[in-house]
Amino acid sequence: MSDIKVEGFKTSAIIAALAEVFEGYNDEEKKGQIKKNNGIFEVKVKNEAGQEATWTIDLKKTGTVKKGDAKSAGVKSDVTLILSDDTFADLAAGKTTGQKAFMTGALKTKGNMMLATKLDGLLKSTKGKAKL
Amino acid sequence: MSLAGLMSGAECAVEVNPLSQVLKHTDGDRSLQQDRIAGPSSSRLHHLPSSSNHAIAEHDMAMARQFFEAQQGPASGPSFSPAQMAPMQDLMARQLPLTVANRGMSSNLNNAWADVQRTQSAPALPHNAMSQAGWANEFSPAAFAHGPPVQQSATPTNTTQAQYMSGSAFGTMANRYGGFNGMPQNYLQSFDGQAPVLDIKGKGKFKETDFDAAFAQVASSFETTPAQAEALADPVVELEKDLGKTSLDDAPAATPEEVLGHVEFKNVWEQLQNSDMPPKPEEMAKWEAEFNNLMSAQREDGEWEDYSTAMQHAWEETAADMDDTFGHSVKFDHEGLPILDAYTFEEHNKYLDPSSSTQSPLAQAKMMLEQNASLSEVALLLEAAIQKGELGEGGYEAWILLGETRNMDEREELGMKALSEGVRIAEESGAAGPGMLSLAISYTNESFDRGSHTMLMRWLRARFPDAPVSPEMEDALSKSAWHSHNVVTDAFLGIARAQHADGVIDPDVQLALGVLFYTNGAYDRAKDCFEAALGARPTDYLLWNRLGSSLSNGNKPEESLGAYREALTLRPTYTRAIYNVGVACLNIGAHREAAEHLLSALSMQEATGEKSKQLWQTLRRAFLAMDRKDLADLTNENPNLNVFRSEGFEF
Repeated sequence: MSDIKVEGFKTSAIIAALAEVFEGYNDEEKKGQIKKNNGIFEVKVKNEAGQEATWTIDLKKTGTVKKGDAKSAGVKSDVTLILSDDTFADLAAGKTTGQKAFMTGALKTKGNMMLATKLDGLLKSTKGKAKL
Repeated sequence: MSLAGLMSGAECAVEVNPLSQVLKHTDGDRSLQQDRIAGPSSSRLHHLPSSSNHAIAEHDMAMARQFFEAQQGPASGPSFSPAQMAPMQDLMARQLPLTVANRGMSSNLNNAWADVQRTQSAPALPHNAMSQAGWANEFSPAAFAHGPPVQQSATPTNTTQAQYMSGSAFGTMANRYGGFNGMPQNYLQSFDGQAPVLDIKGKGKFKETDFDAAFAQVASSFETTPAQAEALADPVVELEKDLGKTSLDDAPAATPEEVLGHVEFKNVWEQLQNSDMPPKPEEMAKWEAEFNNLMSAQREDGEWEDYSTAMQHAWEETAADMDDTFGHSVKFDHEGLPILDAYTFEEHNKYLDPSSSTQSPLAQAKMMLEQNASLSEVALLLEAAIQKGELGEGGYEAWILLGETRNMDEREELGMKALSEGVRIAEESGAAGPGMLSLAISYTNESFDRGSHTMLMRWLRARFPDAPVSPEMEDALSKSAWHSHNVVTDAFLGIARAQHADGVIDPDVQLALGVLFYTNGAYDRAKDCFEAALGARPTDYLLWNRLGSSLSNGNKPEESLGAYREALTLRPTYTRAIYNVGVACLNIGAHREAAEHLLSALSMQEATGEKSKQLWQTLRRAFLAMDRKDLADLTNENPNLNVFRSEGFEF
């Protein structure tokens, strides 16, 4: 997964974990995820230093995560999420939710906004959730 | 009820500091209590309040207070009744120096409030900043601490502003938006972290402006419901007559100072509207268009009454969908309860064989539970019992026991179905109550938040038939999870307080409260509640597990291990606790240990044909984290667990 990582971004580690999770899905689960989400997410992240990085999460065709924007991955994205590195880290840690981030403007979207709601769930899947 | 108490500490930890609890009693919630007693003055936006002006005044004050207190605390936002006002107040307050607001409640604000009161009738408002500050102070909940005169003068301000806002169908928007799965509450929380934002010139960190402006734009695109605006107008008119305050909108102002204040507000409003901070108008139009599409798409569905509910449902279903347990999309009824298929019994159940022991399978199952046998075995026995017609007490006992056993065995889907069946039978036979808490917990685990609230509410009604439940509460349950959460929390807090006043700690009530907080992500509060419950029932392994999970999801995996150990000491075959230990290890980064724990959990499910998918999946992730893709792939084939033993895993 080293080709996914980008230096200087907390997001990168999280996305790498997400990629691992996808790898871990067997075919059935992968198909399930693709069916549920049915979208190609572009994640544009800006870190404190002002650098930008983009990743493409394809949950429509292949069920993979790639570095770079959708064009470089050869697909057209359904939604682009624009947020800061810190916001993404908070989302993944559960400190905030996709809705909150959206409401406060910390998360901006271009494209199919409803797909942004799936982001929370995606990130949750990277972290094991304890059962009550 | 007192969200104040909620904000400032764990309600549940009643025994830890009884004095603080008492203080909260005296300090906290009178306003809303009175509000409730006085009558349904909530949702003024929906109907004309029949209650008195006094009630409304207090209601407003309470809301304002909650708004500010909410800034200090996480989790639960204002209760349902103020909810719809809160968004509007939010937005209004946002436009003013948040620095003032963020200072929170303090005597400063009290004094400032008193000052503002005086200045309002005297020539004052020298320049922009001052008036803005004064404006924000008018919102100050600190005013609440003062007597009626302050309240009353505060009210029309709030009201008139509300009227101003609602004049443009804003109220509708806020309502709808308020329904947006916890938006107002989240909104409030967003203020915690926001640095002082508003600067009159419209500069500064302006996430909210674009939002605001977008809001206004979208608001204008929604169907205006003049009825709502009118409804709001009436109480306002009443109040104005009584208190002689001018309104903020275009009614002629009485004094130059008031005009000034009015103009100030309008100026700011215009500025915000016209500000060219991002997003650009084109983007906004696009956003608006998307919103409209969204709305119309949902509307075509025909099911949902308003957009907020639609969004809420979409959100919930998404959250539910993300969970792999239910492979297909789950549908919900109007109360948020999932519509499940019937329970599927095990195909090969040795206990079904008529030649096997003649002892009652139900009795046998119970005995095995006592003896800490494998939960899967117990489940088989219970299934046999049910299939043989031995349903136990009331016809529901076996079902509920089966459901609880399945859940303990980390077979959530089966557990939920069995519990649903049991609860249904119990309700129909007039003995509602058993199994409901467990079912609510099951819903929470699968992110069926509204369902969880509904079930908890039903339990409360069954257990405490005398507890006051207003029709609004019922109404709230059919709306978004955010509405229902607050309403249900209030109800439970009311009971908890009453009990505490009698010196009683009811572990079930504490449990229910804990589940409520957990569902909403307030894991710290949930932890407190479970600890309180454990104080009364220290040998309840389920409670230990729940405490552990609250810690684990609250990002305290190391502490959670301690709680899980307790649970496992009490019930070594508690599969779910073992699973949770595995998850905690995974989160800590102890992948090998995680794998071993998960494998031992799997090994306890040898009795049933299929093992828990959840266990396999989490094991897979552990293997991948260890860079053992070969083992990860192996898990897909439901292999014999000895394969893993030979790989060196000890379980």
